[in-house]
Amino acid sequence: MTTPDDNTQALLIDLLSRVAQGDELALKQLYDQTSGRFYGLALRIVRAGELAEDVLQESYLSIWRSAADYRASLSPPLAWMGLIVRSRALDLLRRRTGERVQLTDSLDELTEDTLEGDSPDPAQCADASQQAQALHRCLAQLKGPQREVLSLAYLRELSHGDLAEQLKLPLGTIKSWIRRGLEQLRLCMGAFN
Amino acid sequence: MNIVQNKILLQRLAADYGLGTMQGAARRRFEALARRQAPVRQAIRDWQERLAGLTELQAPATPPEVIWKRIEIALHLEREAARLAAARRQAATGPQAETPSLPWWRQLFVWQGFSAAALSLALLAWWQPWQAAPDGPGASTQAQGPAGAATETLALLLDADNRPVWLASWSGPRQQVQLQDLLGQPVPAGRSLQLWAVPAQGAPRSLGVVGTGDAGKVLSAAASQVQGAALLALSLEVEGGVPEAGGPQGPILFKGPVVHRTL
Repeated sequence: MTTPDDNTQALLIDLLSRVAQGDELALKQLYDQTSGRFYGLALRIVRAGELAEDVLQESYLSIWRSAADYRASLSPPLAWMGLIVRSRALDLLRRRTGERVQLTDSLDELTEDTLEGDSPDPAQCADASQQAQALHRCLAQLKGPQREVLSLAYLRELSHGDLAEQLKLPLGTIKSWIRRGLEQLRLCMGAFN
Repeated sequence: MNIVQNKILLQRLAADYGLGTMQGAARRRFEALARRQAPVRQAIRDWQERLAGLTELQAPATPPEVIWKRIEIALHLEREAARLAAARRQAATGPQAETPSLPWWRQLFVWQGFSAAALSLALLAWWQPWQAAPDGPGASTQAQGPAGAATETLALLLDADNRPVWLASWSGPRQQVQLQDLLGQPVPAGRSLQLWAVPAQGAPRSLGVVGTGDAGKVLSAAASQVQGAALLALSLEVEGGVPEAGGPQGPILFKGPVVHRTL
């Protein structure tokens, strides 16, 4: 059976292979298909709009240069591209540590973020890879702040100490939230695989 | 202790590794272990795959349209630079002479001369902002125009990391320099960017201060100010800029060699 999800995946895989051959039109189509999603991701990691614009630009240039490596990765296309965006965003944050961006969030702010942050609209979710959809369902079973701490740790590559500092929570709380959250995720996602 | 035997511990460590919360020495030790033990590698891969979905699950946002434009410009630059680099390898030029200590504007020439020139040439081949703009009355016949009317000058100004940040194009028919901000970086409050034409011989000439909005990015400049220039540079000055006679007082943030051509 073919689902809309399969169609999107096939389209993106086809676009990536054309991009790998230097087809600029395909890059434009890929951009039109995916830039909203990845601009959202970039904003989530770097917060500032201006930085997120640079992240998006550099990410699509990276995709342009490395699309030939995509097939070997065996990943779903959005997951592969998402990792590129995350890694460009982290590069940019590191490069800008001099003009340290304000990354401190209060947990209230974060839970607000979570409502929009980790609850993509149904269409967005339908396009996501199966793995991401399973993750979405399993994350939904965690408590809001716990889910948020996991997201933030991953997206911004933060240590327990960084998280405790940024979220102004005790280190022990952060550690146990993460440990239990990951354990729940493992059990839940095991059921999907 | 063999962590491969202790499945719960292995999962916990691999999860921390995949999430990124395991950092520093602990991360390196775990990587060393993974190189020796296949089950550790497998556990890490599983977690990386599980968590990668987080990048797909963020709320979307509409990016500004200018981003695609910037990507397009970068693609053109990249392609042309590659083409020119290939041509340059074929031409195989000889080694360049070392330059002894010189005033600042002379030293600008030493810096990355060729690659920036290649980029400017590439842009010139591709970018034709003035021809695309509608000509005002009186600008139609180049022969009757002001001195240097039938020429244009172009420079791509790069930052210290060699990223193209500004595109400056001078039009003979209009006697104006138009600046295009490629990255949209803000100027610090209370400071101004001042544009300089740096000739091969003699002191730099001020072409004025970059203002706000599109109108502020068009500066009047006579042929005599621009045509002898070998470089254009933007320096960061006090608000309103500094007098030409003393030359730039602040740091040169962006610079690039100019390309002149006859229309």
